[in-house]
Amino acid sequence: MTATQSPDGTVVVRVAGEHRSAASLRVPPDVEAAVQGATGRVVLDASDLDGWDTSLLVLVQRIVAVASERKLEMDTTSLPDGLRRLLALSQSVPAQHPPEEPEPPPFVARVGVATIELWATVARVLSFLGELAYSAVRLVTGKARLRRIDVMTEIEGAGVKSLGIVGVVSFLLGMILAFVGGVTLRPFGASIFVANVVTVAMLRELGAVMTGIVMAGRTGSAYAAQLGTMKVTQEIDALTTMAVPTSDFLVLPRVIALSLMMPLLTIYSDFIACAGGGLVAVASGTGALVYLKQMQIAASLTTFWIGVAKSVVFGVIVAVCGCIQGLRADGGAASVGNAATSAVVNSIIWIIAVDGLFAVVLNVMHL
Amino acid sequence: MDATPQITVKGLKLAYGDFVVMEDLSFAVPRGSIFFVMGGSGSGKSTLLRALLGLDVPAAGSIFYGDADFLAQDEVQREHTLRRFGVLYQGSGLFSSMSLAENVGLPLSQFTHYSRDEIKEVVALKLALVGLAGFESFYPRQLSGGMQKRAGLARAMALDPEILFLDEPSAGLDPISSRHLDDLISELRESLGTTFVMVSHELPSILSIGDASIFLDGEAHTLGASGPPKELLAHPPNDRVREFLTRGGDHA
Repeated sequence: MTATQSPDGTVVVRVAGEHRSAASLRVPPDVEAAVQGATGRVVLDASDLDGWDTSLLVLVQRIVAVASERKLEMDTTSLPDGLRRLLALSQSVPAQHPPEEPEPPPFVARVGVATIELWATVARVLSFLGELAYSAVRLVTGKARLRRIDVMTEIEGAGVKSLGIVGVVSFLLGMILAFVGGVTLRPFGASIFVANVVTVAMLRELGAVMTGIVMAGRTGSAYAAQLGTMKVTQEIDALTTMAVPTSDFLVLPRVIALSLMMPLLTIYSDFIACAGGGLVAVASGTGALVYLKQMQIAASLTTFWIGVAKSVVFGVIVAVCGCIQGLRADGGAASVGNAATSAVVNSIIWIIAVDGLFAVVLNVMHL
Repeated sequence: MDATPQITVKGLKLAYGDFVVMEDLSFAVPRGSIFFVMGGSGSGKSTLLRALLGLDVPAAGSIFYGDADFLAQDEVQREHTLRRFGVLYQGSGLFSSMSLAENVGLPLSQFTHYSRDEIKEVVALKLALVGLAGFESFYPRQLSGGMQKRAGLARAMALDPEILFLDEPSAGLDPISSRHLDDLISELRESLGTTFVMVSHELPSILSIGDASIFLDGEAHTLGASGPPKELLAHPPNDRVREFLTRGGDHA
């Protein structure tokens, strides 16, 4: 690309040879300067042009822009027809200017907005829980609109298919507890109390908490992703316009499934963890029968039921967090991803918080 | 128009396991043409497109791009071939987490050595060509269906492809937007000499801008007819083609 200036102020910009993508997209500075300095017409001469693609169009467009800014007359007649037409096409629709970004509001306003949004979130969660309670009433009176097969499918997904991961985690957790407990207690000659550590910790706290966390990651995220995708693909809208409440049709089966399966999984986790703990204890020298006897002394039925009761609550938490977040998704792959993330994070936070609440309440009740 | 075909398909057989979608499929796409793949719903149009793009492996047959045997190419050669393609998917396939500028700029930043500013300029040009000048900072969900299709087209032609594959480009568009898209496509073909391979059952588009076409017969599981759409309408070689091109018969 070269430019020549004639005495009458006309600038001739010459493009020659092959002009395709590999070439630079920069208008040579001398050409740009020449166009800037033109006082007469600007003529584009492409008589020696062999081949071109849209990269040439970028250059031509820029020269045209410079020329029109300076209100110079352009002569593009020697450009290939196609290029001229594309040039016209690219200028046929006036550019849309996106609305300017508003200035960020002052700190106080941001706090205010965040507070109002927080209230809106609380209101949304409460109305969700209200609807769910209403659905539960309809379930009891036999009027809920849900399909038994959906409940069974969710039970299978949350129950049987979770046995593997819950088993592995619990077994290892039991072994770790027994190992750490053994190392700590042996110097005091109290190795036998490893049985107390493992049994009480698992039955009362960790069985339910660990299972809850595993299920939050495994099932809660799946609920959020599933419902989020259904929202994005308008399946939720379809349900709503059929006058089928989503809380009956989608949320209830999942809450039922998890609140039924969580206690069973927790009991399973308790057993597996005690087996893992026992294995380590026996391997480090405690007699198997003595260990079993000590477990019997340590574990009370109350301890067992406390763990199971918590697990039901945790199951509801995981299902509700998953469903709420899924139904919040609004368009796009990213929103479904965010929903799954929030579902897991919220579930885990609420599980830990509620577990703390249980500890306080049970302490007051002297259990 | 160059005489050697851009795409040559010989004896192609498409199947999902034992279920044969299409067999004995042979046709050629002339260079610089607007080529339509027609056929009823479920006749295998999109399956054929997936095979042409290398997304599915056909059960038998061969596909040539120019002289290159696409199915025999190794990964490096295939990547080279694919870079000459642009594809507009049925649902536009725009990345929802990226603005239009990022969507259109992605192939440029991956496959060219352009600087950031240069990419910005090419993106602005491509968006202007599809009538979306100034929409750089918009996200796909902020656009109407027709605009998303046009933005998808801008991304598909970011690298000045030789062949543009469009899967149902006017599905879900109103007649006017659909017509604008047709005008844009024929303009791009005229100006840049791009070959367009379009899967469609949009009769107005097919008859107004199609140079060549094939008709996939979903019942016979093979090629029903081939030729310029207007000629097929004037002299339908069989009843299924006639029914398709006249929307189910003359009584309509």
